[in-house]
Amino acid sequence: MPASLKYFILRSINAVIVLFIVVLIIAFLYSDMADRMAEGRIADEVRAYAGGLPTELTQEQRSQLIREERARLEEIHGLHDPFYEKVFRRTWDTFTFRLGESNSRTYYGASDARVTTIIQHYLPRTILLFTTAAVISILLGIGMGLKAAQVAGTKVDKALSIFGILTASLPMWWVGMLVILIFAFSLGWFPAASYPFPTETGYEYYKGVLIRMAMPLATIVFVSVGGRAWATRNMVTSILQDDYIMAARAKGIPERKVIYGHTLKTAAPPIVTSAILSFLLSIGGAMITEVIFNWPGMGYLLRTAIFAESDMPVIMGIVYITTLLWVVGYLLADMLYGFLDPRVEVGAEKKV
Amino acid sequence: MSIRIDDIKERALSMMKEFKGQRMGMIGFSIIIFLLAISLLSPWLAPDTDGQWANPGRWEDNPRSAAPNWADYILPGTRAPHDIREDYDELDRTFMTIKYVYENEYDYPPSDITVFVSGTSSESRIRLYIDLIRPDGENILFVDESVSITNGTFSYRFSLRSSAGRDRSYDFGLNAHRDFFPDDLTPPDRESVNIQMVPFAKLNENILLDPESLKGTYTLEVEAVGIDEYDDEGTRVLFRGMKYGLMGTDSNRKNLALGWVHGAKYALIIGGIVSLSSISIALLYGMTSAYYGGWVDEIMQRANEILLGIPIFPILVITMYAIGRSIWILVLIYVILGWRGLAKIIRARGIQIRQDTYVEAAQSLGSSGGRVITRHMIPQLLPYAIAEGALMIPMVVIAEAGLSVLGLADPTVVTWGRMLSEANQYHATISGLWWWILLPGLGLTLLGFGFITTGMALERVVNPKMRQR
Repeated sequence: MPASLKYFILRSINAVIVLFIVVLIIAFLYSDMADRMAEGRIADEVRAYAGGLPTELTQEQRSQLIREERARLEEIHGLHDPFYEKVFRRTWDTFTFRLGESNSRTYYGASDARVTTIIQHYLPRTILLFTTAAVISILLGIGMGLKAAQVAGTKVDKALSIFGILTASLPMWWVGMLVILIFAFSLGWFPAASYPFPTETGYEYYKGVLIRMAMPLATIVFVSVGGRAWATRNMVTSILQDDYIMAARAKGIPERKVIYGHTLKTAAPPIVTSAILSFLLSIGGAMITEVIFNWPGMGYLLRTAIFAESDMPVIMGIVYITTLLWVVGYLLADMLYGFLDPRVEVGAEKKV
Repeated sequence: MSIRIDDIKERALSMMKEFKGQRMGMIGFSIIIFLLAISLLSPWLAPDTDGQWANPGRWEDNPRSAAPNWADYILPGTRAPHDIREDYDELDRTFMTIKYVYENEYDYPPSDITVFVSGTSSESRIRLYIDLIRPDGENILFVDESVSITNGTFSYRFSLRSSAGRDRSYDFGLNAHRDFFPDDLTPPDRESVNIQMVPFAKLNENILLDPESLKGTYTLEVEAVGIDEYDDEGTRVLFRGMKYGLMGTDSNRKNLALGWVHGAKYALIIGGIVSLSSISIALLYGMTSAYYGGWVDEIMQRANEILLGIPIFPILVITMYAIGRSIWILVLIYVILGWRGLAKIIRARGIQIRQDTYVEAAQSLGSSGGRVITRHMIPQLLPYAIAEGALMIPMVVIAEAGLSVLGLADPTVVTWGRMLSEANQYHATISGLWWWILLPGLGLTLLGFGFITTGMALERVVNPKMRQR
């Protein structure tokens, strides 16, 4: 079996196992909470039922009827099913995207109460913001890193390093709060909240979206670009010390060509994959950034579901979809690395 | 045996010497020492804060939304300080009137006056008057009320921010406004007026919309007709400030400096636990995997790769939501998952070390596997693991803060994240309460900067190859 195929299969199995573990955790916690919620609901219904019983019944008749009603309700809610069965059922439902219905009567502005519908309503906005930010940050970061590598050791290079270290240690959403304070409160250039989304159509709609997107987008790019540039710079400078680069220089190949041709060829796979991976890692921070800007994406939905509604099915749905996206993204980044750098092989490091 | 300990000591000393040469690292390390000192002193620096954070009674005497005291140095204008008067300045026994004299020399006058009156009387009712005499001779009568006496005593509380206080302030402002604009049929309504400033504002055409501080001597008069004696304990006046303490207050009067101190403490606690546990587990796991090699290594590496694929953020959200909003759940999840990346690096370096001659020598002298790992391999990699572990601390603390903003804050502790989540909840950004956002976030930044620079400096010391770059 060719090494790349083995690599591919192993990575895919890995991804499935990870997804399964997370779904199992979701199902376990979900079933536990669902039981507790069902018990509360049953208690309410039984109380209402007892209140509506005719008054001429004896005490014994009453308690007999109440017991029967309680048993009937517990049967309906499936409280007596074994716990593993409930967990298994929930696991299967989650895997097959039957994520249940929201507890909230508002549907969060989506057309119906199904969790999948609600998430479909919010997910595109997260993807829009996040991928735009990722593309800008990766291109800008790699460009800045290459420039810094060319002038390694100078003041510009040092300044970039410090900028990278400083911004890498900042929580993205906190920078977002400062951005609102400066550009929305003090200067009044942008609206402080992205919500509600524009209702116009055509040109006005896109203009409205762009104005709302400016601040969150700038925040994500500002926080991530320094670290990206710094990583690129380090990768490139370490390759520049390799023998073959020295040989190329000795041959008199111009420095520009050495960097953009020879070095970049070697540096590209780790730079690209580490960029993608670090963006995947920042998805939590980006979702919280949405909350700060009231950008109506998954993070905003998550906060509303937690804070205002305590809406478990929606929260579980978001967790599942986020995990799914992460696992797929991680797998793709891995594949891309294997594709860009054919030397990669599972267990290869063992033969050192 | 003694030789090895001396070796380690010497190595640690030489590393310390080298570390001292790293400027950024030393700055970062000082920050860590500073945060540690604050945390250790927290019971004395900030008493009654931890469990009392959500208790409004604890913060009753503070001003609302007051800027830090140093705001006057960096922003235009001067702000009234917080002024608590336990004693009155004057007592007139003929009318039983007490007076408080207030010098307003600030561009931003007090945000509120709260008056507590209590005393004894042999009557069944008394008549209470509270008024403010302004430097321009105007007089605002805030309270003219009959107060009933129970068991010979009474106590009364008045605030400019109460609805009566706001009514009187608005009426005063509206009268002045009418003098300037007799034909204005739609004067600004009370919601659009900067009402807290009106009693201290110059009588000009801007009194409602853009009031300007009237400087001079104000006298607050309290007159209780029918009273026998004021109770010195229960009678006091708060001229609540526009600035307060080292870090100001939030919109619920909480003293942010006190919360900050505990935030530093919890940041170090959760970061420290996770970092130490991750270092230990990663060292054991990585070393075992590297030392035994073969199928043991294969299984351990595949297992680690699966753990590496688990996204930590959704797991945190779901466990904290379903099990409990507690920092200890967050710590537990990070203890379970935090070591995975470090273990991979440790294993890779362990494989290199295993081939070193002294390890082979120890093995051929008959040392057991466990002994070789603990005595020879771990001491080699410990400094490196500590350097990497230091980088984890800010990560965990920032994760806690982020989850707080999502609504999963632990209600039993004060963390920087909880302070920021409250800032977001009460719209500090769009109200311009910058200190509420800036200072807790600065805590996160300091912590991040401190540990990242320290970790990087340590990395350079233990891994000399990096210094060439």
